[in-house]
Amino acid sequence: MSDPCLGDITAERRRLIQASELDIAETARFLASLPATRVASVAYRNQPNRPYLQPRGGFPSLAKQRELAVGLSRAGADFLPLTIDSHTRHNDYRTAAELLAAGLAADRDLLNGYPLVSHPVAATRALFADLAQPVSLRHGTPDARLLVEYALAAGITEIEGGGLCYTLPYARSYPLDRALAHWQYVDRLCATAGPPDRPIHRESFGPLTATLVPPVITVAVQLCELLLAAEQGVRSFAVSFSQTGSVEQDVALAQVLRDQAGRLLARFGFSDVRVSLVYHQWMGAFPTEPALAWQLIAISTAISRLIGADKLVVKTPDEASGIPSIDSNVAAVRAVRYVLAMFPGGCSVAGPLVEQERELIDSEVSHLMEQVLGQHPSSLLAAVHRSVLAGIIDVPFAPHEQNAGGLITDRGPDRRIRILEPGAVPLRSNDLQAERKLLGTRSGSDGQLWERLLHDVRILA
Amino acid sequence: VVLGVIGHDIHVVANRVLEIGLAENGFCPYNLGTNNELDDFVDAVLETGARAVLVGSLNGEGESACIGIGDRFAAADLAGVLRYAGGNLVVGDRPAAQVEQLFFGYGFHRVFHRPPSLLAVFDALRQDLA
Repeated sequence: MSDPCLGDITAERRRLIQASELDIAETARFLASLPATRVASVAYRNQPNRPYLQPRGGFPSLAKQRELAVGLSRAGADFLPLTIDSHTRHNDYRTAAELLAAGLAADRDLLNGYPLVSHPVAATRALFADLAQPVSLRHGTPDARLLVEYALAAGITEIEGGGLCYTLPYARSYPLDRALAHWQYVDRLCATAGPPDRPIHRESFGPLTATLVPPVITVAVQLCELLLAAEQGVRSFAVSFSQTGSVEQDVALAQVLRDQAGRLLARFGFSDVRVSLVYHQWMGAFPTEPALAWQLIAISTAISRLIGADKLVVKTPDEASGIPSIDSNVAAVRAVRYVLAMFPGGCSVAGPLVEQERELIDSEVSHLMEQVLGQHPSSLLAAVHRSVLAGIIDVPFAPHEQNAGGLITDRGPDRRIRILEPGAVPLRSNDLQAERKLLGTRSGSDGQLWERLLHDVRILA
Repeated sequence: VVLGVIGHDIHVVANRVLEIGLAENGFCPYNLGTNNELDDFVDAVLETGARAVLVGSLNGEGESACIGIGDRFAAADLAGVLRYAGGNLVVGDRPAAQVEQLFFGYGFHRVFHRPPSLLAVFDALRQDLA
């Protein structure tokens, strides 16, 4: 499938950045001049025998962002985050700039992240100039074209996001087809902006709404975004997902995600794409009690080893109460390193439960992806777009108005996420039967579905 | 029953659970989802003939966004439509009684500030609509 949506990328880039301080050739020169340790795709090529660690974090001011970056770098983070504020995410650069200035004047943070487009490129470059780690852009932006232009100009070599994963969970009304087209721009940009032997790395955001998302939907979204990126020339890509709440389901999901990614890339002639696996520590409601939060962080660190993750995105014990402090983030990185050191040679789990789960997810994903790819529209982008509108891809609890919202999930007695009502998600009848059998019949004492859902949403809090 | 979340609030989980719970308890929910203004609730009642609206706010924007709801419904000749507010209605910690009085003043009939369960909402609806 070829896609006609995007024209000449260089012409599009010139048009987009003409009012800014950016310069295409200068960005390319700067990216080529970065030391190899700052390049995410090089890091993934030289994967050590443990997952890389990446915390989250972004502050509005240069001083505080610098303090965070230095603190995390010293604590042993392998990737440094740059998390963007929500005004910038929604392309409201003027409000972001105003709140940045007002916050600096009042000496308090009025933004929930770093307003990358509102800072001079040279200032963002200087934040990381003497640090040895790659920087990862974390946001949630349906139209990230200008934001990513700024990121690349500042030497950020890993770009998270995608047309599905940054739209369905993050926006209500941003039209999905436009978001997909803008992410096609980002993918092509990442494929062409850096030196060919050190490509810009792309990563999808598998947690989605992080609320009872069944594995089949997680995997399908990851595969769609992987293929969409590969089609635009991206050669270094990470698929990701977040802790489901069941160890067996995590292990099975990871296996299916890796296998299916490899198979699909080979089928479409993209075998030269390097795929890594990223695991997010629990993204649902966190316990407020620090003693419990630390246990959760330790267990998900262990699971990252069991699934063979290439990178682990780290949570903090502050998670339940708001944006984590620098100290808390630094403490979390140290704690996670401590747990990882207990698994020097990796580790694996197997058994009938994992195998049962793996077979079921694999069958569901194969069937769903055939429905997505078998639609024969003009392009992969159109096929993905149509699949969401038709409810074939349906993300539970997504606020987006084009998300079907017909899929209803629940947790089985063993805490694995199960499909109760598929909506328009295509499931073979034997797979749906298996889902319902594993969910089991609830007794009256378990209450109504809404009560169970509220309980499940807060299951580890 | 029309339900929705008011303001720029994108917290959708409780909204979705409430929709499912309403259906399970014999009501007919019409869910506006997130990002609504007062007029969206008025329009939805005009379109559907709903007998009650449940206005949710999870990020506290409700304090400013719900001002004048009673007048707005009266102006549309919908004064008799039942109006509930619920969620985490104001920013910061304030006594529940104080928050309730504030929202009664806006023109709500019942106020559920940080309710421990949705059961009380269903019971109240049953009683008020009987």
